[in-house]
Amino acid sequence: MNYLTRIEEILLLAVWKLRDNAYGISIRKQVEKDTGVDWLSGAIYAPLNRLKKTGYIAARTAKESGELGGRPRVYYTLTPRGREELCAVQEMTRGLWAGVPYLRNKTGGG
Amino acid sequence: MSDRRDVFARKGLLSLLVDSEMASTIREDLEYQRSTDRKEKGPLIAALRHAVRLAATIGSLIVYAFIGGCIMIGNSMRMARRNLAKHKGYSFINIAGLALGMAACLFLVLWVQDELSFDAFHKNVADIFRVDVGWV
Repeated sequence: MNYLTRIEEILLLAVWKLRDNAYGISIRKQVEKDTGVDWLSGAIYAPLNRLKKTGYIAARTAKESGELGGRPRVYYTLTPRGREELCAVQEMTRGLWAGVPYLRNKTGGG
Repeated sequence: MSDRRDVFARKGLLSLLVDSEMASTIREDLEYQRSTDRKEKGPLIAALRHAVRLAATIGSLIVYAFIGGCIMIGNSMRMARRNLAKHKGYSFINIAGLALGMAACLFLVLWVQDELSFDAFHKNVADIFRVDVGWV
């Protein structure tokens, strides 16, 4: 099993959360909101492009044009394969964290 | 209008690296960031930051395309870097020489382009000659 990298996981989750409203800018903003870090465009779009090439997300071009430049906006959705992959990651993460002793330092007042 | 859109979609280095959908996604975002920059920091800073952002995006797309899931290239890169660090003198001579050669080559190209650009709009360009008169 070839697991996703972290940013790929975050991107897939962002696309899934945004549902019908996942396009470039909104995905970047969602990732920014989720991680609290202002990501560079390249750090978003290079993995996004790879996810698209792998077939985890699919693109569709809107009929009406976007806000800027008059070009039609491109929206992204998760493919069934992408959903499967996310489910696998979720399961793996759950298993990984199951049975982990309490991490915060109790004596330090944390 | 649709023709103009097509021209927009195909133009530039971005379209070589990604398909037209991803290219228009990236362009839309970069345009958006430029417009917010323009409002906050003025046109000059916005243009500069736009250029840097575009270059960084293209750079990471190239890097990502090369990494592309194979570790071997990463290993070779590491070996290359170690070898460069080990033989610093020879590395310096090598790279400096290469850079000098490439710079010279670029200057030559620029020169030739400039020379060939004059009077190019005439029909029989090949028959036009330049007469130089020096001080007698």
